[in-house]
Amino acid sequence: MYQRFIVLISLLLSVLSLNAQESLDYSKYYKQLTIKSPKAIIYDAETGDVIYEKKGE
Amino acid sequence: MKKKANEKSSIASLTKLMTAMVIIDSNLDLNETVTITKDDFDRIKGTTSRLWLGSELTRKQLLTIALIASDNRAASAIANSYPGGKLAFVKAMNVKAKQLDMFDTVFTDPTGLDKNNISTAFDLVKMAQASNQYPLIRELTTSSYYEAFIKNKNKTLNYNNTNLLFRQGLWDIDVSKTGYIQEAGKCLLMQTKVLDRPIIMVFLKSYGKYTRTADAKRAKQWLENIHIQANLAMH
Repeated sequence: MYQRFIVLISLLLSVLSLNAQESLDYSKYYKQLTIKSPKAIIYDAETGDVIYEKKGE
Repeated sequence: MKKKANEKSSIASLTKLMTAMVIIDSNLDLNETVTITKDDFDRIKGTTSRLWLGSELTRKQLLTIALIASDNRAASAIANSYPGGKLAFVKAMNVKAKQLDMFDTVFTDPTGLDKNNISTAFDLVKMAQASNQYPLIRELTTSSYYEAFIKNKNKTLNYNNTNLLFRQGLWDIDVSKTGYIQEAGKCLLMQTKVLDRPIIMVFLKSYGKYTRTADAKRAKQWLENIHIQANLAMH
């Protein structure tokens, strides 16, 4: 019984963690990133999200 | 994609990923021998190559050298060996671009030396995704080193991957291509894995020998850090 509970909690945490990653608002963290190239795109090929974009100077 | 990076610019040798897709799609024999001719010499930028006039290489050797070392003469020879020659090849490149919904992209030559090979960061993401579907492109663009034996010259040529990140061996890269002409600046396109997620990075108009790879390192570190921060906040 106790083992089942542990497995269920682990699964729940994994799903929560995955969901947290998929719904991340990357723009909140832009200040922590320095990209020196004048044009850039960083793209999540799994979710189809544009993570970061620099359109040119 | 939720946002569009649709400002067009020259893409230099990133073009060679399309060259690779077109020649693979053609189903021409990759083991067939192709000869380097004067037509393969660069008359646009005057770049040099170690592939001498008359050198005989297989299409696969040429493709490898074009992708790993970004050799222009190799890419040109691939295109010239296509039925209908270079003109037909470039036409096929543009047809392929349309098939991939790369509507803001135009190819004018198979090497990327022509500044009129233009695209957008948004379209280049599509090209990276398409290239990643080709096992041979994944294999060749992620090889750090290649030794080409030129049979009819009895010579061996050694090539290193132009993406400096391969020399460190710390990256899990699926597809990669670099590019440079003056009009395009230094370019880097790659699909890599960050925390097991497939991430495409495109850097254009970069300058300095190390800027684009340093950008890639900073982006990877940044992504790792914010996922750690997000997970800590969750638990």
